[in-house]
Amino acid sequence: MSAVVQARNLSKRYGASTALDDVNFSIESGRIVGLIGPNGAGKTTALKAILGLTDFQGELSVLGLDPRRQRHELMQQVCFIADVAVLPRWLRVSEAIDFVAGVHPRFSREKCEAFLARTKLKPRMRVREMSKGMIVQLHLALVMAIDARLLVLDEPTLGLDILYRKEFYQSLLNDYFDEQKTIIITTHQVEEIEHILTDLMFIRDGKIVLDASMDAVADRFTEVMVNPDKAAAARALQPLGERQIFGKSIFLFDGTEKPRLAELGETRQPSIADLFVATMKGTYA
Amino acid sequence: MNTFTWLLKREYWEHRGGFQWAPLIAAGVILAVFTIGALTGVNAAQSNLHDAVINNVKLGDIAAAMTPEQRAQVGGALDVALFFSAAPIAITLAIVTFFYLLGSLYDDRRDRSMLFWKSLPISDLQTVLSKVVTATVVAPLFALAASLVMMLGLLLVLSLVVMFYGANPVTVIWGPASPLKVLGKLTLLLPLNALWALPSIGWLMLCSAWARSKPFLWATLLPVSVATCISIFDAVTKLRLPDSWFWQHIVFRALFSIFPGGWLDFEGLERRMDDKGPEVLLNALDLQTLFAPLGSVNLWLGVAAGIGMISAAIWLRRWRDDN
Repeated sequence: MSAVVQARNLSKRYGASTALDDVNFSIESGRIVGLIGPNGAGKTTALKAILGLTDFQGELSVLGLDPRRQRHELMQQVCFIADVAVLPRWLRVSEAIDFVAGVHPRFSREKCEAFLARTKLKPRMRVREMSKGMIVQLHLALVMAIDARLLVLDEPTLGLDILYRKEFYQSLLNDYFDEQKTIIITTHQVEEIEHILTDLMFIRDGKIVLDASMDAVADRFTEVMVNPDKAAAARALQPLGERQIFGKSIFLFDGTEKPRLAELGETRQPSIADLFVATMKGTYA
Repeated sequence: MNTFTWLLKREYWEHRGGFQWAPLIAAGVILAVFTIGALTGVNAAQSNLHDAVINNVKLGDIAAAMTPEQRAQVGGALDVALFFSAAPIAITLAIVTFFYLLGSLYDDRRDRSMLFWKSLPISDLQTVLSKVVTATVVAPLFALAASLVMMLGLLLVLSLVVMFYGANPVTVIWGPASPLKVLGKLTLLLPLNALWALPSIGWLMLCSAWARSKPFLWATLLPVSVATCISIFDAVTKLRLPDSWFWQHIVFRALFSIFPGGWLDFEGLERRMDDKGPEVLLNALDLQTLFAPLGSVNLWLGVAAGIGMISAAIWLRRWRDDN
């Protein structure tokens, strides 16, 4: 299986600061990858490089194309929602559909209209008359009706309430995703996408600090709830993180054998959010 | 429809107010002013005279007694009047286009909707060129349509006035006047207007693609202040700087070439008209006059500069990374 995205020694500098520092990664087809990192870690820069929106050093191939030189070909098969992208305020729903249908060979008008039928959006409505949630609904309906091989979502549900968010991820999984497609998502609401991801990537200070499938993450990381008397023993095993709850300590271990941890206390699968906090410790210090 | 047609349509959707309504409103204002003028005239005439009489001769009789030559003169005068009555529409068009171009590559960067357009398979070359074509072809065609409406309206009001004086509008107005010929002449100006406007189009789009904020100030203050500096240096030092050349060929071309007909050789036209009346103006605006500027180096240097700046704008559109 060939990689949809292949980055080798990818770097990007803005003046003195380094947004991406010699990054290597590869994303296979049919995956849903969560790219998670604190603000300013280089998430958006990485996505911009993949989408050919910014120049960079190193090698990057997306669907076998160079996003810098072959952006036009690439955009036939790639679609994205940027975190800050807004639809132009003058645009009407019907105009948006007509336009995308006119310029995009892989757009399905039927699919888009089916998505919109579930919303309160009317064809004559202008973006400036819509609520924030409605604008996102329109944007998502347009993008999800495009049969793209790679879909990049940078904070797609920013500013939406939880009802919209749940519904969006559900229809992304049910109505959009299949083995031919690949999705890259960044978000701060990690817990909401955790169950739909197949792969996880943590990025910190322009470096990839974790790149693993969700299965591998489940194998590698274990959380143990330890009583105070065994806390010292747990610390000796060099946990990734430690936090206190109800007088007990919760330790997060990376790669430590599970039977050994079971002796210390009750073990469980850590949430991505806990894993993230432990991994990113001291980022803002 | 192909992608380019859709891009033109998008520009129309976004700028319907400027391209479609502004010229029509200008046409409406001209018509209203003219009608009010005509009504006042008719009113004044009515209070003075019982019948429409000039030097004791009825206008209807004058009209009936016109020789074909005189009729041609009336027609020529009407056509010239029609031609120049379109000037306010042309000026409206120029102002609308000026601000359209300044915002063309800036507005969607400012409101960040550019990322939506960039998520579709449209090349930056197509995007920028669709805006150039909108400014040089689509917008002027709307202005021409508004001009035609206005001309027909003017002739209609004039017909009513003439009828009020007891003359037959068909022989006095519609026979001699040729609004379609006037419109044809105006249409002929399009390609030259476009070529002439390229340095302005290029400069305004370049500023639009480049400015992080306030493209209007960059576009205007930059050339004006450079020119002012040259003028001041020219005045206070012994260096013979070509400041008036700079004003005329750089500042004015960059900012005001967008005004239709700026390339016209007015002195030449005047010379050709001197021996005859203004009614020969339209005939003087023949292909010879229209194509004369095509032979001037000035025009082609401007075209080259315009293409250069548009290319720079395309490059900036592709690589400007400030979202």
